[in-house]
Parts: sequence; structure tokens; C-alpha cells
Amino acid sequence: MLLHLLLNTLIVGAGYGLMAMAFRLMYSVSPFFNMTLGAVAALGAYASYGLISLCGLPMWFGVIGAIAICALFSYFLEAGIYTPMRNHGASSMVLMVASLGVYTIFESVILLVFGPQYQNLGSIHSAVTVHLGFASIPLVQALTIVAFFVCFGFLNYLLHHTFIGLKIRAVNDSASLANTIGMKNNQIILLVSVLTGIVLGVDGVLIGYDTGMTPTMGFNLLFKGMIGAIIGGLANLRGAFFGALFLALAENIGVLIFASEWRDLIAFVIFITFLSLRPQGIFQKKGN
Amino acid sequence: MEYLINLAILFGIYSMLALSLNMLIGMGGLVSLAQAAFYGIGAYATAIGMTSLGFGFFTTIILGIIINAVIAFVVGKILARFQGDYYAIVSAGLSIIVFSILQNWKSVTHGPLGIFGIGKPEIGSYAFYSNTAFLGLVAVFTVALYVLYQWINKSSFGRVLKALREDEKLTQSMGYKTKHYKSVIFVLSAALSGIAGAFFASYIAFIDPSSFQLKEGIFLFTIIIVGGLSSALGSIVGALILISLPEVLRFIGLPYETAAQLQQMIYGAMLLLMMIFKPQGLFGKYRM
Amino acid sequence: MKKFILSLMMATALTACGDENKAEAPKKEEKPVITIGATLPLTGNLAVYGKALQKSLDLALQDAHPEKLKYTYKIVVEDDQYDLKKALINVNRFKSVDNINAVMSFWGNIGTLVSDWAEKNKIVHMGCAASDKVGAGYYNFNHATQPQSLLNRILKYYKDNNFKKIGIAYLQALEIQEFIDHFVPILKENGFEVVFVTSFNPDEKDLKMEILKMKEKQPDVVEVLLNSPIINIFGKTSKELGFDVPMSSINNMTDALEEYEGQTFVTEDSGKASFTEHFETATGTPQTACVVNFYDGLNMLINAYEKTPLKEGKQIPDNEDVVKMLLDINNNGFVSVINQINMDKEGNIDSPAVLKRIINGKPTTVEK
Repeated sequence: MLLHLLLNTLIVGAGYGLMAMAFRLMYSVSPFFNMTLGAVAALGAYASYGLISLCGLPMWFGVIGAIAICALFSYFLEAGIYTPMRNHGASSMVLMVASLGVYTIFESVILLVFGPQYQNLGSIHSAVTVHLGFASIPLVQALTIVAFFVCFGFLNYLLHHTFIGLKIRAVNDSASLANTIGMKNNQIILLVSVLTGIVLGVDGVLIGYDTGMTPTMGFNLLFKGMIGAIIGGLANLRGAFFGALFLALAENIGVLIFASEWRDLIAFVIFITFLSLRPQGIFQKKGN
Repeated sequence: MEYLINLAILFGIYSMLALSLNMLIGMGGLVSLAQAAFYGIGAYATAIGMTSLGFGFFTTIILGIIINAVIAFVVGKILARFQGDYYAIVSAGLSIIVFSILQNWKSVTHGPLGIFGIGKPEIGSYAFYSNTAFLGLVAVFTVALYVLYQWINKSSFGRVLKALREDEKLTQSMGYKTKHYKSVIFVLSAALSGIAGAFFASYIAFIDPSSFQLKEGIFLFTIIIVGGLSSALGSIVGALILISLPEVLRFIGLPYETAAQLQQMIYGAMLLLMMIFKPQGLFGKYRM
Repeated sequence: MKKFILSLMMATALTACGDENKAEAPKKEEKPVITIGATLPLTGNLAVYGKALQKSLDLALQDAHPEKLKYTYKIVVEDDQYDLKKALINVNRFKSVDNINAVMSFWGNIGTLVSDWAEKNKIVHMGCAASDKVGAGYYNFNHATQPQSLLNRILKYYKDNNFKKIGIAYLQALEIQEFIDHFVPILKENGFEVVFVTSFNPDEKDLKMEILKMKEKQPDVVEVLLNSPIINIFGKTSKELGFDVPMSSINNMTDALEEYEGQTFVTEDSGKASFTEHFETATGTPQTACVVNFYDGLNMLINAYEKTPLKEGKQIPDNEDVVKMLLDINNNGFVSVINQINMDKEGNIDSPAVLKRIINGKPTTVEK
């Protein structure tokens, strides 16, 4: 059972972690609690569904198309709504409320277009499994773990070993200073929104094949990712990575010992406890 | 006429909720999304008090105030450690925690079964069975709350509160114990929401946890965002708009399936547009 | 803002005038109108069910050949998102604005609320819920396969298959909780061993740890009392984890036909064989909970209104008389699409439960 616990922590943590890393990345340059990140992930799932099941495109085409759509969506949200608002002096609270409004609109559009029923991109019969000795998991879950590590590696490399990454971190450290030096903040923010969109698109597609999708899927996923990122300190990518895993571990242990209906309660109690005791989360170091 | 009386009663209840929330967010600058929790606790106090404990309606209001005051005192202290948008996010988490307790603590709340057969208020031998009479009672309490709001607003307590909303450090430096003020307004706001909950429970005669989720707290927040922060009139106008909006939409003659999604889209659009063009709300005096 | 206030005034005016308009005598060629309101979850978590029910009502009216009926039947459907206060607003609006004669509701929470209201307002109410509170009262009827019938069929299924150890996975929802409170003691009385009773919240997505715990208990059969989407995830995850025991359910496996291929479930008898096919072909929607009950229920109402004699000087029958006609089910000429229905004096309409197995993606009636 212990092995299963660890394995499941990895799988669930990976799902949360992609959102957590995306959240952290976006927050680092645009510091507000952006509710539409959940919408972008949900779009990943629904766009894939639209392209593959409804338009009949081959799988890889549909998946890549969906991720591209997410990147564009994320970009347009930032360019069309948040950046102009920020430039007009909107506080982070105002931006958060605005994003809540956008998320609400998004959810109702999905409901209107796709209907309320549960959809799953994958088929239960053709599930390819990966055998691990003590357990076998469906391919999509293994891919989620892989994607999690790959995204982490890629973003880490980007942030620490490239010039673009330097610019991103500069905006994070001090937006006003970066502006003074002449780096175009807005451009960086837009670039980050595209990156975030890609990561979220990947997350959405994977979830679409695993536990499926419903129009309300984005909100809960966002919260989990956000909690993961905040537990990890919301100060760096590594924090988001481990914070998400920690959250998944705590949830799973909770379910194992208590009952599953208390899962949400456990997640939020941990969240609030962490915030109360260590406002910086697990990883205190600033930077990146 | 039943229809209008029914709407008016709900309008009254939501006005009470809006006024109490506006004291907290508008006057105090404490953006809480947890109001539904106290609304729910007040409703359950009345439900359990009247059905299991045999109390009269007004007694259960007092019971609800006491329970809410105790819980709000603790919750308020926890929240006070956080600022701005963190405050909002943590309050959202607390709302989910309270909902989880209402849903799962079956021995007390009956969980999803809810509580049936909640009676109507009685004064002496007169019982408020007719909806018109009930409306009268709701109106009295709503007006009382409105007056209370204005009184606090103009009092020295209110002035200090608004000062700390603008600049807490400065207010502290002038010798005011700001933590104390924040705690008092949080507890007061919670207790007043509980009163609205009592009326809700008695009116509908049957409650279950589903009426007190996070989305209700977000709805209440939307009411005062639209109507206006730190404005008693704004609270009332906001409640009027948001309670009657679905009805107005219906009279425009949209097909009933799309009407509900459209309604949700309009709520979202309201939040977004308010944030872009008038962040203080229609009649508001405070900008987040 | 001005436009909004204008609409609000218009709405108020329409309400105030509403009663007057309906009081006008209809033209000689026009049939009197009987309005039936239905408050359904057209959006929100239960939208799948609500939408199917709406289609069921439309189909029932269509099949009743409106041109041959004495009255014009108008069906007003409003969304309540399965929220109590919205349902209350709906029924109040139905009465004041739409002047309904009868109302229909779905499941226990809303059903109980509507039944209290209907009794107060003397409006005939046809609900569909596994809760006896819905049918309580003179004007209230409940058309649903009652828990006892379902229970009996499930117990027979267990006995026929020599199942001894029963596990239950259920959803935190009104009906289901009531059912569980009833079900578990009866199982124990009948000598079954209940190895686990696990509850779930509707929006849970990761069920792996719970299912692993269930696997360890080694049940002979698992009763999966869940709704979509969690029932889908449960089925899928169970397969992935190799939790290969027989699974059974009440009704809701029709939401998850792919995931529960080969499994057996208990459901209301959906009638003279072809109702399901008729419904699914005509509406393009799978038949879900209460669909056949709503279809039948509406037909029951129409039949009663058609047959009830008019009081002196009235255009449409009095609800008090309609209720009498409804209760007189053996003599009022009503033909159900369900093979066998029984109505008790309280207005609870029970229909037998049947066993179905999902074979090649289609629920097929079986004996064991």
C-alpha cells in the first residue's frame, strides 16, 4: 500500500504540479491570483475534444492544436485584459476579481457549447498501460509524470540558463527597476503568458485523457495548483514543484487514514496552516 | 403577487447579507469571500434550534449570533495574519472548510439530508405564517440593519475603520489598536449575516449545505462589487440588481436553456466590466 | 441602468397584469389552456438529468397527440440549478405569472420543497424522488420506483448470485443518504456482510486510494451509488487498478455505459420494451434518471385533466377533482408505458424494479 501511496502521490502531484508551476511562473511577472489559469487548462481538454472527437483530426494534431489554442488564449487574456488594466493602475485585488469574472464567462461558454456531461478523451478499452512491477498504470498517467519533470526541467533551464530567463527573473525581482533599465516588461509578461498557456494546455489535455472533463473542472484544479505553489513558498519554481507533491502526499495520506470526503478540508487546512506558520512556505529563498 | 412577495423576501435577505458584507469589505477593507459560511451557520442554528431544540425563532437568532461570534472571532484572527489578495484566498479556503463540515458532520447537521420542517417566527400568539407577514418582518430587520450600517459608518469606530482601510500603519502609529477594530468588524459582520441566515432557514423551511458553498460567497461579493463598496445604498441596489436579473432576463424571452448560461455570463461580465470601468461599484466610495 | 429599471418595471407590470389577462374568456375556437410547470436543473451539476427530463416532457406531450385533446397543454420549464431558493422562485413565478395548474419536480431536495408549496397552494404536484416526503399531502404525487422495490430486487440479485460480502460506494446527496440509512440495516438483517460503506463528494477526481482500500476488503459485489461524472471516474479507475469485482448500481449506470460494460444494475422498469428506444431515437439523448417517470407522469396528468368533469361554469377542472381522478388509477383509463404500476392512497406511484446488464453498450433486461 505504501508503494501505491507514493506512486499515486507522484501521479496526482504531477497533475497539480503543472498547474502549480504555471501559476508560479505567471505570478512571478504578474503578481495577482489569476482565476483564468483554470480556464486555460480546461480549454486544453475541451479544445482537444473539439478537434479530435468533433472535427475528427488525428490525435497528435488535435493535441498540439489544443495546446496552441491555450497559448493563444492565455496571450489574449493577458494582452487584452490584464496588461491594459495593470497599466491603468489596477491593484492586484481588482485584477483578481476581473479574472474571476472572465472565468465565470468562460465556464458558461463551455457549458453552452459542449454541454454539461462528462467527457473523456480516452477510451476505456484501448488504454495502454505501463507496467511497474507492483502496479500498472495507464499510459496517460505515466505521461503526466513525465510531462511534470520535463516541464520543470525545461522551465528551470529557461529561467536560469537563458537570457530570456534572466529578463523574466528581472521583472519578478523588481518590475520598476527592470523598466528603468529599459527591458520591455509588457513583452516579457506576454511571453510568459504564452509559456504558461502551453504548460496549462498540456495539463488540460492530460487530464482530459485521464479523469476526463466537465465544464467546472478548471476552478478546482486552479485551487489545488495554487495551494501547491503557495505551500512551496510562491518564491520559485522549485517551490511549486515540491509544494504540489507535498499537497498530493498529504491528501493521499489523509484519504488513507480518514475518509475521502474530508479530502478538500485536509487540503485547505494544510494550506492555511502553512500560510499561517510560514508565510514564505517551504522554500524561503527568493529569486527565480 | 406571491411571486413578487417571494422575490421581495429574498431581496430583503440578500440586502441584509450585502450590508453586513459591505461593513467588512467596504468599511474595513477586508476582502472576505467567506460570508456564506456565517450565513450558513446562522441558518443551521435556526434550523437545529427550532426543530431539535424547540426554541423559538428569535431565540435561535440569538443562538446563531453567539455561535457565529465565537467562530468568527477565531476565523477573524486567523485571517488577520494575511493581507490583500491573500486574505481573500484564505477566506475562500475557510469557506470551503466550513461547507465541508456542514456537509460531513452528519450527526449534527444531517449532512446532505438537510433539515426539514423549520417553523416560522412567532411573537406571543401571533405566527408569521403568511408570506406577507414574513416579508414585513424581513423588511423591519433590513431597515434596522441599514440604519445600523449608517450609524457605524458615521461613528468614530467607523472613521477609524475606514482610516485603517486606507493606511493601516499610519492609523496604528496614531495609537489605534487596528487588530482590535478588524476583529470587531469581522465578528459583527458575521453575526449579522447569521441573522439573514435565520430568515432564510425559516422562509424556505428546509435547508441543506448546498446553499452555503463558496459560490454563494462569491455571489454576495459580486452584489457589493456591483452596487458599490462602502455604501449602504450600494448594498441594497446591488442586491436588487442581482436578485432580479434572472427574472428580467426571463421576461426578455430567451429560451430557457440558454437563459441560465447567459445569466452566468452576465454575472461574470458584471464583475469584469465593473473592475475595468468602475472598481468602486455603482454607488461605492471605496476602491480596492 | 435606465434600461434595466425599465425592464424591471415591465416585469412588475406583467406580473400585475398577468392575472387579468388570463381571466379573459378564450375565443370560441381556442381550447382552454392547462399549464404545467416543471422546475429542473438545466444547468449546474445535474444538467445532464434536467435536460433529458425536459426532452421527456416535450416527447410526452407530442406523443399525446395534442390536437385530439380537450385542452391545450402548455409546459413551462425553468432552470433551478438544483438550488432550493431558485426552485422556490420558479414555483412562485409559475403560480403568479404562468398560472400553472400542476407542477413537476425532480428528486428529493427540490421535491420536498415543492411538495410543501404545492400543498399550500393547492397545485397538483408530480415529483420523482426516492423520498416519501415528496408524495406526502393531498395534492402531491411521487412517480418513482420506490426504494423498497429497488431494494428487494437488489437483494434478490445478490441471493441469486451467492454474493455474501457487500461493499457500498455512495455519493453525498439527499436521496442516496436516505437510501443508505435504509439499505445497510436491511442488508445486515438479511445476513449479508457489509465490508465497507464509503462516501464521496461529487467533485472528487482522484479515487485511487479509496479504491485500493476497497480492493483490500475483497467484496463480492460493490454497489456504486454515484452520479456522473464521479461514476465514470470510479469505473475507469477501478479497471485501471484491477479492481475487477461485479459492480451494481441503481439507475445511474446509464450515465457510464462504456465504463460498466458487463455490469448489472437495478432500474425502474422502463416499460413496454420499446420506450427506451423510442426516447433515444426521438431525442438523441440517453435515457437517464426519472425520464420514464416524467413521461408517464405527464401522461397521467393529461389523462386526469381530460377525464375530470368540470364544475358548473368553469372552463377547466378543479385541482381538487383532478387529484381524485388521479388517485382513481384503476378506473380512469390511464395506460402506463411501464409494465406495471401501483399507486397508494398517498399518491406514491411505485413501479417494479428490473435488473439490467450492459451488453455491448446497451442496457438489456436480464433475470439474474
